[in-house]
This record gives sequence, C-alpha cells and structure tokens, in this order.
Amino acid sequence: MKKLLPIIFLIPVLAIGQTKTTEDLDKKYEGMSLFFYKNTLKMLNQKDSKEFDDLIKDIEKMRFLMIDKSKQNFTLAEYTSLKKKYHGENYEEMMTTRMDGKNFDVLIRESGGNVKGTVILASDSTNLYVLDILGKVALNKAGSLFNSLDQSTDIGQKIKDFASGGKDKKKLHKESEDEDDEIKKAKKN
Amino acid sequence: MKKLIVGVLMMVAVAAQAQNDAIAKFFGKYQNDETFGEVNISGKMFSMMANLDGDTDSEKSMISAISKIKGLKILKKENARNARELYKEAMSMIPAGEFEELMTIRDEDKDMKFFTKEAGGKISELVMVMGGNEEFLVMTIFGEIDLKEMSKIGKSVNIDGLKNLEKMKDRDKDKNKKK
Repeated sequence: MKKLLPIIFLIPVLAIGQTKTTEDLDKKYEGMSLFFYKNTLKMLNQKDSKEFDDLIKDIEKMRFLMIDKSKQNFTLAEYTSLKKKYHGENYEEMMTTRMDGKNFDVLIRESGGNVKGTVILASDSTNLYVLDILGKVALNKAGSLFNSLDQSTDIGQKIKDFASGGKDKKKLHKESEDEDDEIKKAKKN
Repeated sequence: MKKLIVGVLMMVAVAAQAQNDAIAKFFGKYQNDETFGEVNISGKMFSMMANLDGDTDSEKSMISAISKIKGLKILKKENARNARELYKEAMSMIPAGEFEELMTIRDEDKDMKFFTKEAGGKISELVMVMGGNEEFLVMTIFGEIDLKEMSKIGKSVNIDGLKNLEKMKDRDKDKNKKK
C-alpha cells in the first residue's frame, strides 16, 4: 500500500508558461526567489536520492518563492486575493486545506482537457511558499517539499544549501572545526 | 394526469435539492470562519487518479474507488468550547428521511456517527459527524461511494480528518463476526 502513496496524487502537467500572478508577487514582495530548470533540479540531487529523483523527474521548470509574511506585512486578506488572481488566470482550485493556522492550496489550469499548469500555495504562521510548476509533479511529494524546508531533511537541506550559496555547508563545516578545537583543548587539559 | 406527475416530480426534485442545500449551508456558514480547519478536494482531483496504475489488486480497487468520488469536504474545530453545540447543529441538518444511519461509535468523550445516502441502489454520499467535549468534525464525501474501500482511503491519504474513515473497518469486522 505504501507504494501507492507516491503515485496517488500524480498529476500530469504539460505547461507552456508560468503565471503573471507569481511574477507580480515576486516583484511586489522581497523574499527568496528561485527558478529551477530540469538540469538545475538534477544538480541539487548530489547524493542521488531516489526520493528527490522521483520528485523532479517530470518537472520541466519550477519557480519557488518564499516570503517572510511578518517582515513583508503579508496578510490573510492578501492570501485570499492572491488565490483570486490565479482564478483570473483560469486556475481552478483542486484542493483547499486550512488546518492549525496553516493553508495549503493546489490550483490547476487546463486547456483542451490537458493540465497546463499547477500552482501550489502553502502558508504558515511565518512564511508564504509558492511553487509554480511546469511538467509533472507528484503533489503529495510537493507537500513534503514544503515541510522539508522547515524540518531540514535531505531535500530541504539541498534547497537551503542552494539558496544560501553553500553558506549552510560552510557553517556546518565551521561548527565541526570548532568541535575539533574543543576536543583538542580538553585533551591538553 | 401528466401535469400531476410532472408536478410531483418537480416537488420531489425541489425537496431533494433543499435537503442537499441544508448540508451545503452548514459548510457555507463556517467555511470562512478562521477558527475552523477546512479541507476541500474537488471531483476533478479525484478523477485524475483514474488513469493511475496500481501494482496489486488491492491498489487497483482503491484507485477505482477514489476515481468515482466527486468531492470531499471537511470542517474541523479543536479546542472548541461549543463543540457539543456544533455537533447538535450538524446532526440537525442531516435530513433524516434521506440519510440512513450507518454506524455510531463512542470513543472516550467523542461521539461519531456515519450516515449514507443511496441513489439507484448505490451510495451517493457519506457523511460523518464527530463531536467531543472540545473537538468537532463534519465530513461529507459524495459521488459513487464504495464503503469497503473507505477505510483504506482513510489510511492512505495523509489528510487530517480522513483518518476517521479507518473506523469504517471496525464496521466490516463487526459484520463478519455476525456472519
């Protein structure tokens, strides 16, 4: 049964272009903004994780935004307004979830019976995350991608490393050097 | 005579619509209330799963059952002082003549009731209402419902609230015991 989970929300997405709403959002608010092509996504998977491979294998392009809501004064009304703007671009709601102060929405645009674009919005008490995806994506894994950003799993760490230009790696390296120094000092004493 | 039949049919149709509206009205009343948790999954999302391939017969039958669902809605409130009142209100909106009580579970301080509506010999809607001292949940699943698959769906789909569908397997166990 567990094998079914990765495929249960597999949505075929064949898209041409990304949304104006996402572009406008990126222009209006400061925050993390990443643009991934297929090859960039492959580069992230340096440990050859099968889970990550499954997640990205059918994604053509992906735009990821992370906006600090408190710093940018992004309110709930603006979240509702954002969804309406996607509706204006012919995106319809496939799934709406609001639990424990967190929002998770999946919107899809179709043309001629084919899915042309998928937008996944997630909002918690501190951040707004937007995934604007072209290609195929397993939606249940996209959800775990959001979670992983906060929970520092392998996938989340890969994106954080990428976003920070390797600063996190350097930080980890420095921490390990500091630990070594402490051990050396303890041995001397 | 024809006019009478048409008139009766229209009245039945209007009555059925009014009953469905009662459930929709309840969701409409609270879905924009931020103190409630909400899940809403469209029929299109479920129908997209029809083309998936399962590895085993069990997976295939579950995919088939999921693809026939036309929609799912959940409203949930935790730490709610008025949980019992909400439970009573939700129970009163279920049209007794149209829905049949499927099973009742009392689990510690929680009461849970499952109702089904039949159309053409098939279950067209499953409603679950759960109320505790501080917790309330109402869920409706509509389309063509395969009760045997509901507990499996509840277990497989990682959505808060749907886990309660797992209780449906207890009903199957009880049924088998009786046999």
